[in-house]
Amino acid sequence: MRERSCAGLQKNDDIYIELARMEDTDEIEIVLCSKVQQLYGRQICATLKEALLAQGITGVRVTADDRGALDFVVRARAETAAMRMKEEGEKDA
Amino acid sequence: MRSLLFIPGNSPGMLIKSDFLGADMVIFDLEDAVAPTEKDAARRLLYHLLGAMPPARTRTAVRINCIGSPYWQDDLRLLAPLLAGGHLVVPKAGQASDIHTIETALDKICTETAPPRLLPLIETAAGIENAGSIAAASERVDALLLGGEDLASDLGCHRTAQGEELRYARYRIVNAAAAAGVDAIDTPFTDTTDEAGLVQDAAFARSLGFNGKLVIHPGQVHAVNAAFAPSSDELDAAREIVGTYDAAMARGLGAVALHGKMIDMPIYRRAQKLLSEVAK
Repeated sequence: MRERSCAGLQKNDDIYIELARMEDTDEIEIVLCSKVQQLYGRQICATLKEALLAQGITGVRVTADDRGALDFVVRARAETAAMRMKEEGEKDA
Repeated sequence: MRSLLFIPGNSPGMLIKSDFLGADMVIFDLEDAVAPTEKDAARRLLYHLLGAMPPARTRTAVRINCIGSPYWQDDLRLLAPLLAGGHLVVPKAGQASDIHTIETALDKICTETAPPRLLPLIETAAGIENAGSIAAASERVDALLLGGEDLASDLGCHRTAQGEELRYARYRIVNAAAAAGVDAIDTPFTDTTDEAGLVQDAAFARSLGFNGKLVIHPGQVHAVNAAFAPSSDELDAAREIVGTYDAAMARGLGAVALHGKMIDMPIYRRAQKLLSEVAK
């Protein structure tokens, strides 16, 4: 398991996600920056959390820079970041 | 299929717009358009696109990574079950056994869904020489696609706007496809700023017998669709041929003349094929 991972791009219609492992907690802490935060912030956070839990990821801080990503994009990027975190090998991905 | 538009597989913005660009088919690309470090991300993005909001107006294909790469099996495992009724573009198809390899893998993966149809992309010298056996390798093959850029590289020559270096490959693809009863799709025209060149190139491809053309930029779709659409004169002639021939057959005649020219079965079939393609 890696300490950090990321996925996505800081481009329109995408979301850039960084995961960083936290010590002594099973929480998923989300720091979201989005131009549609007021309208969809809660939904984006729920999707991020659901996707990470489905991959068995807990105890992480999620930093997400959303540029208007649709739900399927948020889910895909979160899963990719989770899978990269679960990979063996180098410390960061 | 007149226009088959490549869409980079890791670009959410392009993926979302792809259904509204006027192409007859979109090809979501996991191969050349995606960096090796992003193959996993693109694959997962396509998985959720196809699951959540697959194109509703446009036929769908995915270009997987080539056999021999570390990626193609993961591409198939994740995406093939979502491509029932869709197509897989098989890059660098060099021999019939490449198609058999894909077919065998699909049969293991698609146990509950129909496996996708196949579009071998012929882009090596070996592929050109084996085009006939590749087209006939499986009943799932619907068309042969010509990839001129990689082929030129394999041949050690440069691509030109005139495309003289691809003449043999084009003839061979059209002939192999026709012999196997599948479509022939021409190589992309890569200069996206040269619309006159694109129109000329597409017209030439159609004159050889190609049914459509690969497209690498949305701005090329309209010109390619126009180039491969039959003219109203061609449609009128086809309707007249079919009508005249059907009437002659109904009267028990073996052959019939129209405007001083004999209409035989090949001419009748060609006219029928044109009308059925337009109807589609």
